[in-house]
Amino acid sequence: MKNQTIAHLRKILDAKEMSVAEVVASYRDRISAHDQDVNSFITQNDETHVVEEGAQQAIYQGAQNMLTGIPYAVKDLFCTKNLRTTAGSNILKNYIPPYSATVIDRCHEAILLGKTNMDEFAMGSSNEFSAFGPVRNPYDPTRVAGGSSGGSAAAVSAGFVPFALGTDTGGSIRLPASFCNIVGFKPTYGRISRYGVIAMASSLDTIGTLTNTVEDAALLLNVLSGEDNRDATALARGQEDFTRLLSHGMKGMRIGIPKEFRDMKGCDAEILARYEESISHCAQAGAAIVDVALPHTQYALSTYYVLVPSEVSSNLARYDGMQFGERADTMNELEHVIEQTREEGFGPEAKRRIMIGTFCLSSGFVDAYYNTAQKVRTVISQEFDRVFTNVDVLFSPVSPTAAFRLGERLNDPVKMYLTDTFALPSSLAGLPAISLPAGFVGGLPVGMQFIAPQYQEAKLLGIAHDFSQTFPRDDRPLAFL
Amino acid sequence: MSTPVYNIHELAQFAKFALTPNEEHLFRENIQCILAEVEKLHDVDTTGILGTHIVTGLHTITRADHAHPATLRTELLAAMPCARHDFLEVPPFFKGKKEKSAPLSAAHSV
Repeated sequence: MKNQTIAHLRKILDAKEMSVAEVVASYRDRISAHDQDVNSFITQNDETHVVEEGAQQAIYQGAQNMLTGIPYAVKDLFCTKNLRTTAGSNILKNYIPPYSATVIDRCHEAILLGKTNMDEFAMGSSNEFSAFGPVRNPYDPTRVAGGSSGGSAAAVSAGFVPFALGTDTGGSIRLPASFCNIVGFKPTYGRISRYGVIAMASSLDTIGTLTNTVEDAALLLNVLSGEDNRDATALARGQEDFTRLLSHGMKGMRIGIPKEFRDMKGCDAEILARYEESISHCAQAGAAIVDVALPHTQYALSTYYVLVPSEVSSNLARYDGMQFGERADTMNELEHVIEQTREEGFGPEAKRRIMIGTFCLSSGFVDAYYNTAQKVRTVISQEFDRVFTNVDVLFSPVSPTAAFRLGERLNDPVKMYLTDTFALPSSLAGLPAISLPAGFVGGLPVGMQFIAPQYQEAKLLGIAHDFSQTFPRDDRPLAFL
Repeated sequence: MSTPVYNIHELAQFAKFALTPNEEHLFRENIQCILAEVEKLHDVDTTGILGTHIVTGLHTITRADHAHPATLRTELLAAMPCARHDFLEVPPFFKGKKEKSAPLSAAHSV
């Protein structure tokens, strides 16, 4: 079941070569046999027989859609009615939502196999900040899978599901996809409704997909995107077919190479070499390579780590042990119960970011930090706008290093944050971006990303599809198989 | 601008955490490093620049003001850490002090 695609499974199911129950059983067997090596799932969904039967009937009647009967998983940040949703945190360890996220409803004919492991409240780059243990890289279990959608990425990479959903606020889909040798796609901010998705940083959180192919990412965007009157930030741009440019390729496209990314300090020399090799590959495919400058991307990390903690401190204020989640077992007064609940319920990264955000929003500092970061964000966005008048897409590595060892960066938050150096700028500007497998370095997968202007996912996917067809994924065995 | 000085204990209280002494020590160091890193924001000339509040430029998004029946009361009560007599129960604000409850009409009089 490894490397299976939605498109191929659709053919198998429609041709009745396998039943929905047989496909689901194959994936469940693989999860049972190997997830203890990866730890990609927090909760498995055992109650799928009704949906399986409905899907099988739809296939018999010729009434199936693209996702009918296809197994999948979602990051445990997405509310799923009557199925535990933890956000990777102790403070929600027993929370059962009374409703499902919009995207879960939109996948109602697919078969949800479970909720995947993640950094607590989507805060992290390694999936080591989960209350449910770290996710291990399927290619090397001594290394991280990347975060915060590490469980979703590892589940697809390990062949536990053909696709999974995640969120990307500052690289949290693209980075684990890069570390796990799969495709990770973050569309334009607002492209997919976030109703029912637990909030981290509301001006940046973006739902996206983890798949084995670019085609699958495009197919999923057709299903998931569209306006939702329960999410005021969801774009209302009408129906669009995001697969329409898959065959267009990159010939004649102008691909921008930011000087600052080419010269990135701290980037592994082998990754820079693979970057140059990939650029040559794009040129051979007929793209025009254009040098561009994005001088303010050097401020992206500082901007992000003021804005995100500030928004986090606001969004996570609701976890006070009162209306949902865990409450500290104490007979004390209200204030003490709240403080003790949050002390016991949150992990170190969540606490760190909440406190930084509280500081940045406090009177006397809000102007110097939060308001300034908002303005620098504008400067960065405008710089991208200017560059995109000359190029169709930008191209860069996803991460300065390949997957690092478990525990290596836990005690150095700034070093951990630097993992997202290449991903952050496009997040701040709300741009669509896609991480693609680009071979192995030192025995570990690395990824490269294309970044497009807002709303140009179809063009982005067409270029990415061409790259992935002509720079095929290195399909070497996983560590446990 | 130099890295600001702050009291970690007060900051934790403001953020509604009851940190242990070890945590206070750890987070004081961590936050100091992170604030030192973000200081470079102040190198950027932002004269005349407006902040980005929503990156896709949306504003004043509205929808029709239709009321829908609230059907999730039972489920919401089930998710509460402590519910009693069909209501959310919260810890006392003042422990051990008895207050004379004001009549409901007086409490809600305008």
